Amino acid sequence: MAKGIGEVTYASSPFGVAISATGTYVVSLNLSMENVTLDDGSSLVAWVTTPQLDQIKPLGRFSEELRVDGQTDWNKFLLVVTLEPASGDLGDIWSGPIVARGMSRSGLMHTMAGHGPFETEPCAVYGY
Amino acid sequence: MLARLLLLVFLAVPALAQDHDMMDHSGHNMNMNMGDSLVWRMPPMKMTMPMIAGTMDDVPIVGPMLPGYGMDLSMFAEAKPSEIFDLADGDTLHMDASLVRRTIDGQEYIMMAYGGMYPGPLIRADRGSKVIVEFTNNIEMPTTVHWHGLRLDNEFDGVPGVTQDPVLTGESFTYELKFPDTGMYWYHPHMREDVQQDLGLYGNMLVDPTEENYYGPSNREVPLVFDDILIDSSGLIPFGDSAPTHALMGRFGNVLMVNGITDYHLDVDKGEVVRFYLTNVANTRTFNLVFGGAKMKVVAGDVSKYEREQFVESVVIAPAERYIVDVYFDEEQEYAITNSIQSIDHFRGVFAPETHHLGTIMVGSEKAEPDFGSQFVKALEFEDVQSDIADFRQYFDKQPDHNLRLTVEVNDLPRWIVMMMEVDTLFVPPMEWNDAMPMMNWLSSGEQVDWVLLDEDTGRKSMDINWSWKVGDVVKIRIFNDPKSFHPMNHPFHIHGQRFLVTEMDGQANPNMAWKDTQIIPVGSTVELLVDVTNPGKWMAHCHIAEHLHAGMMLSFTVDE
Repeated sequence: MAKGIGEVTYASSPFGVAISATGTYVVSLNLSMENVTLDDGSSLVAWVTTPQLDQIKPLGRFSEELRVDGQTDWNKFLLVVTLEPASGDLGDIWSGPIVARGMSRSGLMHTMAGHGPFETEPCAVYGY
Repeated sequence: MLARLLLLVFLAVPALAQDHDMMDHSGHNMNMNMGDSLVWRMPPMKMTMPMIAGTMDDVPIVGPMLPGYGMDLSMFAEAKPSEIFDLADGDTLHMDASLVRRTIDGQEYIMMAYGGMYPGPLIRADRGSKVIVEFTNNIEMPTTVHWHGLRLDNEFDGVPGVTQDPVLTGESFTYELKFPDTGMYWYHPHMREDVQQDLGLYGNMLVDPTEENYYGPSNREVPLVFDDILIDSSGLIPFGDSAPTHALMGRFGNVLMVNGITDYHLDVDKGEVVRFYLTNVANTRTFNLVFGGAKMKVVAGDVSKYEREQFVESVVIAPAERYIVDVYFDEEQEYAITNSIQSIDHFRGVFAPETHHLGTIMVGSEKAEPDFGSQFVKALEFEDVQSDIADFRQYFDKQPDHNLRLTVEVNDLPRWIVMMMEVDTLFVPPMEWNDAMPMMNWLSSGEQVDWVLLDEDTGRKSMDINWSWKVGDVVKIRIFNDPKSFHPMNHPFHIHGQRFLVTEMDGQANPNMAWKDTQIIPVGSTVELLVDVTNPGKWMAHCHIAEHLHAGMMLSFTVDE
């Protein structure tokens, strides 16, 4: 079965931790996939988007070694890997099927209302 | 590395804060005695999280104290803005610590000052020189003076119980300072820093290079000292008498200052390159400084220049760190100096941008002479630093000599605080930019919170650790900030008397190094420091959040000849 790993580290900074002028963390993203068989003319493409999908940015096509790097400074983000044509302009949004996705840990953060003393049912039911 | 997880599951990333404009809760506890005695009152805080019933009347278990409380303000001399003291080799400076009257935002307070100034006198000297400071303690608490970042002789390092006895009220101590390294340094107490430093006991030392063209060209040099203070309409919020309050996160102030004032202003000519010497003297606040979008490059860190200048959009500066930045003001306009952060509303699970206005730089129409604009745009390579660091590259891949874990232990905290901490574990921000839990933070004292440096190889903790090194050693310390501790938080780690390189963070090699004495360790990160051991004696290493230091987060090491 195909699987992927995303590594998140701080972008290079003389201060150790990389922060943008608006106070967001600037992180480097390194994605890799394995056990993937692609048809000729197909490629995997990585995208970074907000959890609400209101901003989408392509990170690029995976290399032959099935790796791709990128960067983002969004507070919460979702990484999406899709199956796209092996060449041509990627456009503003994916056109192919999603084959993998991963949410930043900050993206998991949601209201505490309904948790702990206020909990009515566990978040795990909903995939958190 | 911050995170390495299956793509189909989750990716981890870093992010907390409190609104600058906080509601005033002075006198909130109606059960308190409001007579002449100093009593606790809740600090101003924005209530973004619903409070659990019955907790609003809680106060710290330690008693309140405020230096000068109940004394007549008019008894004290008004503090003056800092002055520069150019000292030649062998000169002596007489300096005291005293209670003073300070005006902040139109309100007068009894605070503390070195030499009657805010910040304290700026000592300026050449690299390689030596000066004497005759210090007298005129405050009502014992104190010492630590000369932060200087690789001076151990007996003058200013650590009570290690290098000297406390200087009691009315007593004096003679410090001999030497300046082997060019750069900006600072001095401050090393006893109850949470109180004395917070109330204004800090000042800078600027060590000038002896080499020509050591830095790139600039039109002027300006020291900026960043601080904050916690006040409400009734005055300064009291401190803990027997131990600090705010032991979990440190005391975040609600009034931010530059050079001791809230309305810093600087006029410059169009096209000026201004060299700012930045120092963060706050108890716990890390700043993310923006200069109104002006082009900016970082030139130097704590103890040296970087290997090369680097253009940046903002400067992240933790407590006790210093940075030297060159800023180019090429447009005739107003530039705001701001602290630009992303706060976290933990209850609602959202980020919110916050911008704190710190000062203004007004660029006029007159053109700067000389014009260094064309030189500014090039990032200089510093071969002297590269050559110095080259001698240490052979050690970059060595195994760590010491493995340190940053963690915390608590006891007897109110049960509701423990419960709230256990609920909020889904996302732990790598950096705390503001006080995200002001009530819980205020109630946590140094008697209930024990911040721990854990030696993973020996199991020893904090001041039970006394590493043993020799002059000439090159020591690698790997530091891991445990995100699974009860209350993980970023820590600015400081080593006395020596200098170090940050060679690696989270498995990534540092591509542009400077010698430092203080480094941010974000939550969840693993940072490797390479220490150049040159200075004999018994020294300290510790977190430079004042409340964490006084809650135990320190260790010692001994350097033999």
